[in-house]
Amino acid sequence: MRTGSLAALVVTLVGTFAVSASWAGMLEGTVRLGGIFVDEEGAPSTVQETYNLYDGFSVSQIHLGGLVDPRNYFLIDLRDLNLDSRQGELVYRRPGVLKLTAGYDRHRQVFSPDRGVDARREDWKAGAEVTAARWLNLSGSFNQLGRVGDRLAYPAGSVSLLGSEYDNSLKTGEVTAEVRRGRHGGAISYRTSLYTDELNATSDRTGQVVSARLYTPCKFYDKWTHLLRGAYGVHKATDGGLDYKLADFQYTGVIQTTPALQLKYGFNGRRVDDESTRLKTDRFCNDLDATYTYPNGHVSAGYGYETNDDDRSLTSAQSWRTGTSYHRGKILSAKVDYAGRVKKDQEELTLLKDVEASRVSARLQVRPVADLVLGAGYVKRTRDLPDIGVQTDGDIVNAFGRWSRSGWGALSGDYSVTTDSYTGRAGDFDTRTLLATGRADVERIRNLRLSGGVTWLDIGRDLDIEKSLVFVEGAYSLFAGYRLEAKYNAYNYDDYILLNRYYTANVVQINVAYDFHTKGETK
Amino acid sequence: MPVSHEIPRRSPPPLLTACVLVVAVLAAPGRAFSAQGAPRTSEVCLDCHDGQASSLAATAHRLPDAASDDAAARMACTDCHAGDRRHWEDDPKANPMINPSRAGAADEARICSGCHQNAHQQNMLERNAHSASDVNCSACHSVHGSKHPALLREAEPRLCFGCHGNIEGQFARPYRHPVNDGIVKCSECHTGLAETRRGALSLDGTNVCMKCHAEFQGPFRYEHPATLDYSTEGTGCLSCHDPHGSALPRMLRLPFEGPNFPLCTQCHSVPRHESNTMHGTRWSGMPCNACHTDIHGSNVSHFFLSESLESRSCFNAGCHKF
Repeated sequence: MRTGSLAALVVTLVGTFAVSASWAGMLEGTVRLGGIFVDEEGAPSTVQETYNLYDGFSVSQIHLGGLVDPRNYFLIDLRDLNLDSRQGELVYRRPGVLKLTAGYDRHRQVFSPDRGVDARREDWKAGAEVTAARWLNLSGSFNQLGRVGDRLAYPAGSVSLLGSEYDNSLKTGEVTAEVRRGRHGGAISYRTSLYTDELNATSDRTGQVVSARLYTPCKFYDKWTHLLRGAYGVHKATDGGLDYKLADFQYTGVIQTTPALQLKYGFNGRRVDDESTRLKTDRFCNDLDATYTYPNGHVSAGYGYETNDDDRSLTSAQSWRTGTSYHRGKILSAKVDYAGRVKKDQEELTLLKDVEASRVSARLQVRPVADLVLGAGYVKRTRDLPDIGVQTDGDIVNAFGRWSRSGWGALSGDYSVTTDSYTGRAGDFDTRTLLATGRADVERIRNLRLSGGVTWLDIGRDLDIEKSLVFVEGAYSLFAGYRLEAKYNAYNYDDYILLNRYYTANVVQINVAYDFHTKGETK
Repeated sequence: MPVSHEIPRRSPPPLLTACVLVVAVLAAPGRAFSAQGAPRTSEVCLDCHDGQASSLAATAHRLPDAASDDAAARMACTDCHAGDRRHWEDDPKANPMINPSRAGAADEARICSGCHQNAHQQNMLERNAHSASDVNCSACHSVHGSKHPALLREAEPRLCFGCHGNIEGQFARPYRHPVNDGIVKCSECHTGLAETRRGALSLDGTNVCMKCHAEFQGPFRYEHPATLDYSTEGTGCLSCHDPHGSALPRMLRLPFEGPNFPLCTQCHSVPRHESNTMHGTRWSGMPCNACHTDIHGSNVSHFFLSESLESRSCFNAGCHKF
């Protein structure tokens, strides 16, 4: 019934616009009808990509967009109308005056091999934005996220004491008033949230946050810009009567003495007053950054110092970062960054005590000829907790290439090797992930567009998992406005350590698409 | 033991300060919006650059038409493309107008901020990874028109993956947020587009994960300190979960498997838990959450023990008297 009503609404809209000769503007859209055929074996819970697939006939998409007047723009995009994976988006916009949006999305998570144990989420959203005057903008939004269905214990086979079902919803709303005048600007926002769990009233929670921000140049030195933010909020567990209050203040000063040199100072002060722990946590952060920009790149450096006092323990952290980039038009670009952070537990009262972390990244990209881009990147992250004997290291090395030529198509590929290692007192954990992706798009054949791609993932060492996703799709133009579209997906998953953790699926999606475009003139 | 004391009812000084400052902005003299040194015009531009008006027509940047009576209030080409009249009166090549899309991040942000002074714009001048890497507004937005919202060049996540290709790979992992499926957008978590905290995962100080997972948001009578940071800066939720993707269920960073349960033992080394004589062989391989159930926060026990254990007299009476 719901599907029928939506379809009738859309047909009415299309008909109204199409037959009317008294409107000025244009209407374009696409209607897709078809079906999905799924052949699967194994545990579908292992491959998230198939969670939201439903077998059978599908009103795959109704997409309408256009201009009326011609100052009124609208968009209607509805997908999988007759299936439980339906999505919808509506937009109406009068540029510079009004914008209205609405959306709906429904999807599920699958936990069992027979798809019998699952949970479903529904997301509703609506928003409005009014530019009341050139200096005043008002906006508001509302979201509702609901979750119902089965709840599965973890690890598998254990008995969950959290219950075996979900039935909860989260409602959030926000209103904002924003003003600006020349180089001055500011806004005030109010955000509220309400979480309710029909199966466990002690989980019910509310939240309110008021925030404000300001942007203004210094009155006596206009190369200095002040940016300020402040927020105050209360989060409350309604059943237990507990709450915590949060106050946050930020100041950033930006000085641009010359177009090439920019200096920044940032301060952040925050207090969290938690009634449940009876603790007040105060955090203060100070950051100083300088950036020098020259025609072929930039050099930057920064230093930060922060303290965290939660009434029980006092910690301080120093951080530093530096980076540089170089580019030579579109032919070559290179970038290197380094950041480090050392946290000291002044009284050695926290669980983790001292923490040292660092991150280095480098990226190089070259374009030897106009159609070809080649590149490589490297990232290294370390985190060391010497007092509790824990060290984590991560490296990512990747290389990529893309070739594209208008009228011919494109080829792209990416290969990366990621290693993650964890060393602790209780044991070690190491993984190495190989990831290869490739994609080809062919535009050379008349009336036919072809694409294909593969994603291959191999997770080794302490785990032994292989996963691959393959797709081939084509669209053939039959005659004026009509297209036949076909897509084939193959999903494979194998866990060679855990039994019964395998999955394979072949999914075929066929659609007939109709594109239309009409233009109306004022009578 | 935590120190017990009264929590004062405090007024919110940052809020009051901000309100006063916003009022001050309204009262301050504003600078007239104008092109940078050029007379405001569009008509003369379209003599040569024909077609640009129609590309802008469906956007907030549309130019006034001939019959429009609000020309002064609408956009003019020279609002963004600064230069002087010699460009159209003399030699265009010798006197080029500025093309903001080819300017650096700071320069283009300055041009766009003539009109756009929202939180996202303000953030480009504060601590923003994009501006620090000289990624300008036009890298993401197609100012002359786009079929995507906010004039984005491409819809998320493809837009983000254009530069963050290594992140795209993480979303191919078995357990992940449904970003590639179009259900969750990058910008729903990376509020850095509108916020400035380090890591760009805090919304006015509130942990951004709680935008959807509100059931784990405090206050609880007994909080798990790993989540007590109220944001992800001090790792918080990320101590245990990798939101981009993991090979482990529940997007866990480390295995939650016996005999050592590295996920928990990365922080906790608890005496008598490895070889407990009282629990005998039943202890072997038993997951931590068999007893420590409400690990995100509890209203029953400061060790997050389950209510059923209390009813079986395991704690508060019996062996475990806390």
